[in-house]
Amino acid sequence: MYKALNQVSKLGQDSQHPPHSAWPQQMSDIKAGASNSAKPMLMASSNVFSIGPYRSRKDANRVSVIEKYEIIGYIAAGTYGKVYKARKKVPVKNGSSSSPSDSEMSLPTTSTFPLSNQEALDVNSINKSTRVQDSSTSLPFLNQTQETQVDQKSESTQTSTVPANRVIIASPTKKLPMLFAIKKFKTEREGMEQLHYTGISQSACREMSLCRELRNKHLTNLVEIFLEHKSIYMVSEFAEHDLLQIIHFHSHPEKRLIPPRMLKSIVWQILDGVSYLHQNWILHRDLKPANIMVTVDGCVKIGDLGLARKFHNMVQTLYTGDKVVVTIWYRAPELLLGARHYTPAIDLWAVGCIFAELIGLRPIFKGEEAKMDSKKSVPFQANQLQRILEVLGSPNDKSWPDIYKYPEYEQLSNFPRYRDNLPVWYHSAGGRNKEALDLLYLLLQYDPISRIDAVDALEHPYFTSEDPAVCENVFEGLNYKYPPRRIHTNDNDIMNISNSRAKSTTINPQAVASKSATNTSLGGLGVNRRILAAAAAAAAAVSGTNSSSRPASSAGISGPARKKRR
Amino acid sequence: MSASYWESTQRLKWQHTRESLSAERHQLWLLECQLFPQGLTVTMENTKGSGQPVTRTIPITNYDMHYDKDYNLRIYCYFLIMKLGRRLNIRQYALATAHIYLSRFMLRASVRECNLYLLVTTCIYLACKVEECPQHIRSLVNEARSLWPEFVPPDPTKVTEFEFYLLEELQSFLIVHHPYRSMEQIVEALRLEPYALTLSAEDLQNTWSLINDSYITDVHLIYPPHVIAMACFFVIICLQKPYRAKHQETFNRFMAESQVDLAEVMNTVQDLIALYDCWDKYNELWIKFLLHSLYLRRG
Repeated sequence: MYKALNQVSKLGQDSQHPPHSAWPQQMSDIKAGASNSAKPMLMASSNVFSIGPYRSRKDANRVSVIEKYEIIGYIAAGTYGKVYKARKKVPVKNGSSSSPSDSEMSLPTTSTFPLSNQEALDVNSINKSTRVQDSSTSLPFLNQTQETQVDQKSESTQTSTVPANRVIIASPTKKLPMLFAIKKFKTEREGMEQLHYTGISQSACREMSLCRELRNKHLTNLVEIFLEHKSIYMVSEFAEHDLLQIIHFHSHPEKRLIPPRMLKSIVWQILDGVSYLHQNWILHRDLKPANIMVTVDGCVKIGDLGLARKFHNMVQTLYTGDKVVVTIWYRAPELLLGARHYTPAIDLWAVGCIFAELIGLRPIFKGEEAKMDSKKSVPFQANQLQRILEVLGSPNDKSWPDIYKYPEYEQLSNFPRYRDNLPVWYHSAGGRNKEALDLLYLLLQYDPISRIDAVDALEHPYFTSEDPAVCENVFEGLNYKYPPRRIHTNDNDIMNISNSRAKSTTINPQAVASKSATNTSLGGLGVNRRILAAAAAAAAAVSGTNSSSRPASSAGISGPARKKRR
Repeated sequence: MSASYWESTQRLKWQHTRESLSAERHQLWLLECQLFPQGLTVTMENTKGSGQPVTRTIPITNYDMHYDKDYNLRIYCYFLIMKLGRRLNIRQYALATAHIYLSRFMLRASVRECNLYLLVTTCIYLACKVEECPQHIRSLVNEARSLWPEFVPPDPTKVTEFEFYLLEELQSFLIVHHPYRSMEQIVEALRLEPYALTLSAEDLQNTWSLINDSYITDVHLIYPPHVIAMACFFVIICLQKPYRAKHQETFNRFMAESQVDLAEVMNTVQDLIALYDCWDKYNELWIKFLLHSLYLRRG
């Protein structure tokens, strides 16, 4: 047995562990023992080997997310983590253009500046180019200069080339690449290589487990999951738009209503996705415009299942798991009244709010959230309820027979009585379609029991009997295009390589993979990333301050990151 | 789909046939032989009087400590999960999920390369999250430590680290369908006409326990949950045949008409019977001793 351990520990030598842990100690003990004597080496009692040998075996064979995907930039950052836009790396057969395999094989970790990296950068910018046609310096020239650059200097020059590189898109030889969104769940400390494994969050766990099971046209499709460097990377299909963006586009600079056909198609597709979720006994619990994506070809995709959960075979009540669900403006009245047991109807309320927002181009119930107090008790959201009452009128025992059963029922008496103003609201928002108003009423029913469910909503006359018909491509017939997603390119380092590299000798066990092949590939990408980081920082500086500022000077922004590495 | 077994990853990604199962295990067997060719050396007390302790080597090719062949080990794992689960009052549903994770993990990894006690703790930790009854990691590790102080490190990040590797090995397919639900459905269906068979609370309890035990076997890796539920009912009803022959008749008719795959049900019954044969020979002291020798070596 001890021999076996030796073997394994040798296998995993390169992935030795941080000194703060007790196990590596043990592993090195074993090795030491083996080399010193032929006598069986014995561990001190009460020392248990952990998963060391297994870990080494797995770490040696893992394919990294950055070996398969190239990060274009990040789309959004939130409490959950960060979402990046990426394209799949395609090994190119004839070496003229960018090939990740080139860099993997040939690159030493030194600061030489090979062509392949250069090229990789170009490829990266392909996607940007479709949006912004930059008229700056001509490309070939820039490429030349870049090639002659040496490491540090080039970084500053690099920055200036970024906008120019966008032009590359025009190059006809390259096909439009497959795009992906990579969600990296937030780790303990932002911007730092994580020191410890923190247990995966409930939300990551939900999203992973549910997305693995679900497959529907109107849900964002999970492609694969990477688990490495103590982080989770979920790769899913990329959607160019979301409803928040689209609503913003229609309300700025002046209001222009969303075309009726598009409106109807969007709502229908949302309902279709929601109905799929509910048929699978899943509550989404966080429907809002920002979580509803639309692909380039006009297919609605419901995203972000971080709050979603199964509601059959429940071991615990919904309330015990999460005290507060749904973003405040989309939160159903039963939740505001403190419901412990709620139903899929809460998702339909949210759909109603989204529907109304698509019509009126601003949130229909834009209340102010009461913050959690120090005692961590759930506050009563008076302002939000007020907003709802103002539009829908005060509920009564006719419109909501069970209302008196809710924990916060008493609070209702503190509000003045309102009458139903939804038709007024609807007309002032520019709505004309009677069926749409009827559906809106059904979705915004106070009583969750009488609120329409997703399946019935799909059959509503608004969709079935009225012209125009629902269409698959929500953009069908439009003579304009929505602006694509903004991509931030100031942080493409999804693995935190720049940070971990500096410290890899002391705290980062995994970065140095045991296989030399993996090793060089990481190194190669590291260089690549450095260029990207510099370029990105410049781009950020340019767009951040004013567009005419000299990009070269802004290279200093990436300074701290680089300093760390040296 | 999480609502239906038929569309689930359990069926589409993790359902084995006996052949694929043994093929996969053969791979692991080869790996184990390669990694640990010298087997396991154990030191035992001399049973014949008070002589020198005897050192013996158990070859790697022995059945001992291979999860697929060593029922001692399997039954022991089952007890480990149960013990820790009971301590924390974790629902059986979550424990069953944990057990599935363990069986899946053991298809791909050897007991010799990772700490089994840590694995059990980690499986429960993850399963509780997936089943929406999360346990606080500290209390979990504390309980595990109080049960197996020499095996579970006090540092909770050992569990969270392992969780990552477990997730990877499971390929993040986490939602599992269990026979408990099918069992309830079968009870419902039996109660209605034309069967009108109401099972006693004791029968239900026994069936439930039988389902619990079935996690020791491979049936959950091979057959759908409703087949397993059906097989467990079948066994329980057979056992009381002498008293209530009518029940057996009705149940057989129900089973025939339910269009469940009878061959699969019979295979499951077979596995369950085989399990109880092994259980008769279960030697907890021996498996504990082996694990001790494997994980703890005295200087």
